[in-house]
Amino acid sequence: MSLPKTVEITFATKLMDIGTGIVVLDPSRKNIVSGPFTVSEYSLSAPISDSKILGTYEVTYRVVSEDGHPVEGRFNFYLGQSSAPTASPDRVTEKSGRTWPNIFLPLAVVLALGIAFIFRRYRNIK
Amino acid sequence: MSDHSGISRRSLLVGSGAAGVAGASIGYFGKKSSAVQSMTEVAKIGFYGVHQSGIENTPGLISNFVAFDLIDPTKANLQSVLRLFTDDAARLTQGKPALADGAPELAVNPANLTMTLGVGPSLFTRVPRLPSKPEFFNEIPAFPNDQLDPKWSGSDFIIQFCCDDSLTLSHAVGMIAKDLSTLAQVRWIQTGARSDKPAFSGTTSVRNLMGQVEGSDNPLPGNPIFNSLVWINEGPQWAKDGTILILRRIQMLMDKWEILDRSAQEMVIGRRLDNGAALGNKVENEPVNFEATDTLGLPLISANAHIRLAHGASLSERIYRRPYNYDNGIVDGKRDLGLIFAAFTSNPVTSYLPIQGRLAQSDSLNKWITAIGSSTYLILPGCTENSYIGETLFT
Repeated sequence: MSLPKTVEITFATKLMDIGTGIVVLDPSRKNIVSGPFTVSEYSLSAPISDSKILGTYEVTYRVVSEDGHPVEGRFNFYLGQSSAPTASPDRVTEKSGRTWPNIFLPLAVVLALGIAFIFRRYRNIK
Repeated sequence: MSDHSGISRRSLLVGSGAAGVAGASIGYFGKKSSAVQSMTEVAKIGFYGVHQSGIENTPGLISNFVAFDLIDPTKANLQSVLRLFTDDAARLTQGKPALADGAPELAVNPANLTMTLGVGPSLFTRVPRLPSKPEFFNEIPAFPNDQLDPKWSGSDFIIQFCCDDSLTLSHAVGMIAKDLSTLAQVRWIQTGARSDKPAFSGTTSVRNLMGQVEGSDNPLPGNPIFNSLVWINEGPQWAKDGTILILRRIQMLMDKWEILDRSAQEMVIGRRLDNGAALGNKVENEPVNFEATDTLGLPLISANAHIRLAHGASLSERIYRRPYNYDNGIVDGKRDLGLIFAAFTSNPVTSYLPIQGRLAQSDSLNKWITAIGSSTYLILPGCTENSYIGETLFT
């Protein structure tokens, strides 16, 4: 059982590489992002180091959509089983500026797909 | 005034007519009202000194960067240019008409006029038998994304005029262009302006046309760090106490910039727009913590934020910025405005080049700015009343 080599988040709108950030915490709360992230048209991806620790991993990100709105969010995934009672794979928290209603809904949907994608990859590797 | 006209400016400077006309000038001045005289006394900046003025002092509100090429690039012609410039600048900056000034009334309010002369790298290949230039003084190479236009780039020499009054500025530029007209022709002029108010209370920084605070963390004129960062102290003796001017015309793509949320605009730079504080800091000139994170644990100053890349890797990797805004109105249906980026350094190879190398590669601001002109000049050392700017090139 092991982690995928990258975390990739796909968004509904195109991205600009402004203020981008991504942190992936393993169950021991150590950031396992292992190199520079990549911003492509619709997705943010970052390499992560291998971790054997079972439990909940927390992904926090900040991106700016092509129309100039920053969005921050956080979601969890787990290796083996959840170690955080409140964590569920499709749970997404958004923190964004004044315009979040414009972007949140489409984003949340696609973000869930992104998480599903991560999980699919994870299961494939497993 | 009529007794000034028709007299060759050059014959006055070198010939026997000088004393008589200078006397006439003084006579004319004696008639001024006392109100005007008190005005001229307060707002002037000394011309003579170890360094040229126009660098350490507070920038005038408006500027003209006037680029010249020698018509016939000989050493003697260059020397004449430098003598004429020195004589004109020494008078005009002090509120005195130039010799044979056709409109002496326009000279009476110096309005903090400074006139600063620098020579371009091309001069040293075009003019025979000049001493060699410092090895760290060369044309700045074009960076990726630059779209340099020859009409804003390079020349044999430049004169930076800074002033608080447009009438005075216009007169000074016109006087110099006329006096040098047989020796040098103007290649281009870049006109700039700065706000007459600081960006916010308690700072010397001003705002550029994107609304950003310009001048944060600038070295402070007069202190030892400034002196070593700005004034040349190595290489050929003639350049000592001079400095190198990096002059870039940076167009701002305002339409695209203005769609960004304010917070996104701040992320691009890594500073707050209101008070210029680095993200995570409270005030403008606090040391920047590049590791600071927000409540979610994300870096506040992202990997491609302007200030992260502009930040010097060492203490010597700093420049002194003294920029002006330019606004050329609407051209072909688009706003044509930006920044005349003027920066001074004692050695661009160890300061400006690595900084701009990083910025050109990754700065997120590059989406909204394009350099359309680039020049570099060696600002000659200052001079005393008994010499002239650039005399060290001829001794």
